[in-house]
Amino acid sequence: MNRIIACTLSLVTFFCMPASAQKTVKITALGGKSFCGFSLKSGFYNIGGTREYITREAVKGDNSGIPDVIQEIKNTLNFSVPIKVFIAAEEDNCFASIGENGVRMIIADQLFLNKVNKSTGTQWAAISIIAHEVGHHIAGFNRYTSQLKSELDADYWSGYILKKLGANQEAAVKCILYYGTDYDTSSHPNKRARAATIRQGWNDAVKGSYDPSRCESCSDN
Amino acid sequence: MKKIVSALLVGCYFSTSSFAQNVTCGQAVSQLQQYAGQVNQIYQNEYWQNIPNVRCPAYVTNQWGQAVPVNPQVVQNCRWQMLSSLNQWYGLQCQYVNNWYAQIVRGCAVEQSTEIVRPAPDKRSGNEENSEIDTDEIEELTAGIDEDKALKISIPKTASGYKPKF
Repeated sequence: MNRIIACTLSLVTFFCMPASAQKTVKITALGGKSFCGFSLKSGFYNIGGTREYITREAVKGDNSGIPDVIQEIKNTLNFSVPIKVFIAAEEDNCFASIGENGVRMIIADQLFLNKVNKSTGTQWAAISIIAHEVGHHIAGFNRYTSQLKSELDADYWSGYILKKLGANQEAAVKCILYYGTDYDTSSHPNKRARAATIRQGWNDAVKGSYDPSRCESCSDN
Repeated sequence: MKKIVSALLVGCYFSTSSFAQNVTCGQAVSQLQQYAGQVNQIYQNEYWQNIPNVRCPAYVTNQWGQAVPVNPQVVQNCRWQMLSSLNQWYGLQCQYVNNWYAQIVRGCAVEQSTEIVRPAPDKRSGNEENSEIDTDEIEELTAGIDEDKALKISIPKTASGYKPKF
């Protein structure tokens, strides 16, 4: 019996770590929040399971530019919580999540962000998506009974951040008005509600204030 | 046991079919991991629950509701046979999953740029947020990226964010 148990455990490990696993970065994502719930390829991308396929971890100064953008956002907000950035391929999405051991991360498809910039005609589109994901980390993940509220709070921070970074209000809402849905979905509010919330965040940044109900622990940040 | 094998074969069929469709690499890997998880779950259930308690129990209940011990030799033989079958089945699943994974890796390597198989950087010690950039590491990380395909994301210089036209 002991011999069989040992065999079983080794096989279980083998399933979890296939032969080529060392060539890729695999993470376990818990409670992921997707950006808009849309996909340029299939219409709707649902994280569904708990695992994602990641090509590599992005680092500051690399060709993706995403960690640098996130660092700039954090500097602007004085938000010092570490966020790891991973590059996904062919996901046509961008999402924030808490990984194993509480690691905060943002997973982004760089080509997807390029497409969004191109189709909306403004480079602020990609920044608004990244800011939305940072907004999820500011807003927190576990205090919501409604995912729609969670998305709106992230949108609020997207608007707030874009104003702080220098975007005008129309640039801040351009992405959501282009890609958002006309009606609420199970995961995301309609684009008018989202644009209104982004504008609210943008306006609060102009006034130099923010809505404390939009974040989990603003005083700690 | 035949029921288990049949169920898993059905699972194989659906999984293989879905991979043949136009799923992304991420979706394919996710499906594979879900399948492997199901295999492991079935194995665990069989090993810890079904075989000792249902298929080869040490006690059976007689017509008066009393627990009656089964001949230990019979129990041992039964469990040995069941575990042998279970491990044989598990070995086949293991082979199947790894073949499937190799198929995904090959497919994704063809479809995507070589950045997919670049190794992740080693975790650096100290305060990562403020640590200096290791330029050698960056070169290693980005060597396989198709520069024409992926454009660097950066914060625009103008409020409207349009690219300046020259």
